[in-house]
Amino acid sequence: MTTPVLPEGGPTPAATARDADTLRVAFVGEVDHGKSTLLGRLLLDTGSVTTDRLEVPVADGGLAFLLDGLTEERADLFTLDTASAVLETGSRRYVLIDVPGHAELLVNMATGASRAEAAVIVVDCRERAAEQTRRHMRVLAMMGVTAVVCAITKMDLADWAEAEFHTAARQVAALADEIGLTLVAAVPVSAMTGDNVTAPGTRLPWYAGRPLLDTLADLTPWGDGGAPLRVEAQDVVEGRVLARVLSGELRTGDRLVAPGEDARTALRIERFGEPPQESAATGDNIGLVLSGPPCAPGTLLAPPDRRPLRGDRWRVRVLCTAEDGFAEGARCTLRRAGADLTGRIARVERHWDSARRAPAATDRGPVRFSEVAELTVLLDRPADGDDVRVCAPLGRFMLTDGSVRILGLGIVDEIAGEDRR
Amino acid sequence: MPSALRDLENDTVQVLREVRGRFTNPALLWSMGKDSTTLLWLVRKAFFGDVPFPVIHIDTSYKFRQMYEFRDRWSREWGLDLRVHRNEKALAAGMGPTAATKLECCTALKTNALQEALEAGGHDAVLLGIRGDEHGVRAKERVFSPRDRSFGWDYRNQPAEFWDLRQAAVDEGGHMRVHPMLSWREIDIWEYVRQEGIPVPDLYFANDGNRYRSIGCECCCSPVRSDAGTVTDVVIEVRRSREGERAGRAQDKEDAAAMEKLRALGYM
Repeated sequence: MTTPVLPEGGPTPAATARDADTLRVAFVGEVDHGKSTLLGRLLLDTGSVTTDRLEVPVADGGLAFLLDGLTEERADLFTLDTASAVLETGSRRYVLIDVPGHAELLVNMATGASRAEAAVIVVDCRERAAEQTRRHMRVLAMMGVTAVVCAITKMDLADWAEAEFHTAARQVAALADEIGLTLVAAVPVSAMTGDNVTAPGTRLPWYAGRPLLDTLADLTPWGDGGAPLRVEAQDVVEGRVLARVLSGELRTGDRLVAPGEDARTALRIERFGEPPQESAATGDNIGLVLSGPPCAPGTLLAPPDRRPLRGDRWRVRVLCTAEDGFAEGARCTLRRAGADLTGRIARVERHWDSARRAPAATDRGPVRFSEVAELTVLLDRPADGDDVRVCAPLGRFMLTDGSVRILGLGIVDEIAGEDRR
Repeated sequence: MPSALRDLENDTVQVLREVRGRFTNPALLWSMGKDSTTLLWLVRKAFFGDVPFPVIHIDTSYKFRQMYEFRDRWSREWGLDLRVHRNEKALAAGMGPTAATKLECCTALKTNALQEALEAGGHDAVLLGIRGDEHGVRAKERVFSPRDRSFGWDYRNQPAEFWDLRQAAVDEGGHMRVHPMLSWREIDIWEYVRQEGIPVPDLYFANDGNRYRSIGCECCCSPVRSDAGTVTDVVIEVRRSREGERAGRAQDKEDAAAMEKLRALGYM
């Protein structure tokens, strides 16, 4: 027996934004380290896929094909685009999300990862974590995913050597530490043989911990712990506002205020075909009867004593997913819950390769594909908003050039500037 | 309501409300199967009993009698703006499941008929009830999936979707396929059907020891052995089953990559 690399147990469970019994987990890491195969093994050994989906024998790589459904993916043995599948165990439902490992497929990786609340870092025990693992971990951290498990794979190809596991696990632990992710557990597995994936492996007698599937129970969504009430008006039907609770809890009798308008009272919270409800939680899409006139679609409602910030000068961080990048001065649109905010990139403060640490120096040059950039965006009009630490659903956006071109995904760090409230 | 179903319901309703806000002339594709009927039910929930989109039925003329009856009954009860489209030209020329390969027949009577329906209605978005767990190729779909003028699906260059934020722009002459049910599984649909009391065609329930798990054209669907006579029986059976849902669908069997070929041509 050796000392485990990592302590048992995970982070303190946070108040969950969604119900705790569904957890979305992305599987990230290098090309060919076995993300799709490991996912296939998890699905197969838990009976989560029907038998007809295993079209190619396990020995011939058929596990990866459970999620790699495109002919091109199967012919060339790589994951082109993200896909997910559901696995249920006990009272928990896991949505397992596969993402591509190739650097040039960052758009598809980020699309998959942005749906996740937690992640499994997949690392080949012989090759260790490299460029893409670092990039994926940094992207996860930027998106707000903090809890991760590390699966050290292909142990069968390293003769189940304990030393290989510990070296790889130590490397990932150091990386997680540097990036600010909480590593809940590191688990040696072989997806091909199934050892230690859903049940303890017979060929890993030196490993005292739990199999991979059991460690996922320690992963918790990061939740909206204390986020203020934010309600988005989506539409109006017969005097009733169709609304979505972006964060917090809405109760009948609550006072709500929209920018430039008088406060209204939430008189009734409704769902079609169901009795009226006393309250609605984060993520609920409801009908809302308000005192006073209904508000226009896109309006953001908040309690009078905890209103969002208002300003036209927004400091944001963006992961650039556009192949030809973007530069200072460009027109842009922040597509965000509730509304599209138009403006221009007033200043590129600095930018750097997303696989690396942020540099100290200012760099106002053009932002390239797969870089992270800190920007100042000057909006055409002041808008209400929250920074991502206060309210994640409102602090996130998709950056576009105002037409069809998507420039990247972003988070709001600070709202300042002109407030004409 | 179990929280997992509530999550799915919330996510779908959000997409439906977003579609109404972002597109000028969306339509909903209804096949009378359990998935698109559940989608229709969710539209009524999202808009408090109203179905604010035209509902299109792509009729191959080879559907089960029960599906036509079901369509007419519920279309009346729910006050739908129902628009039935057939590829009359192909039907007149004798197109059918025995006259050509399944791929050719599906393409002519479904894909091409859909193309005509969208052109006729001038729709910039079409809502479909497809689910990611039905097929490995459908699992690769986005919620907002743009199609160009030629109807093709550019699966190599799908647009980003970050969190629940999506780009709603389509090229001139193209349209958006919207898939609000991608995250639902077969078992989720049945549990939701049970909980909400959503009507579905009787074909899904056992008759003489057989029931249909997936319904479409009568000639191309085979029943499965089953004694599940009620929704609860079906929930129990689907929970236990290790057989694929589309095992009875002929068009998937002809060729391993049939679904991908169909979808590349614009199949739903």
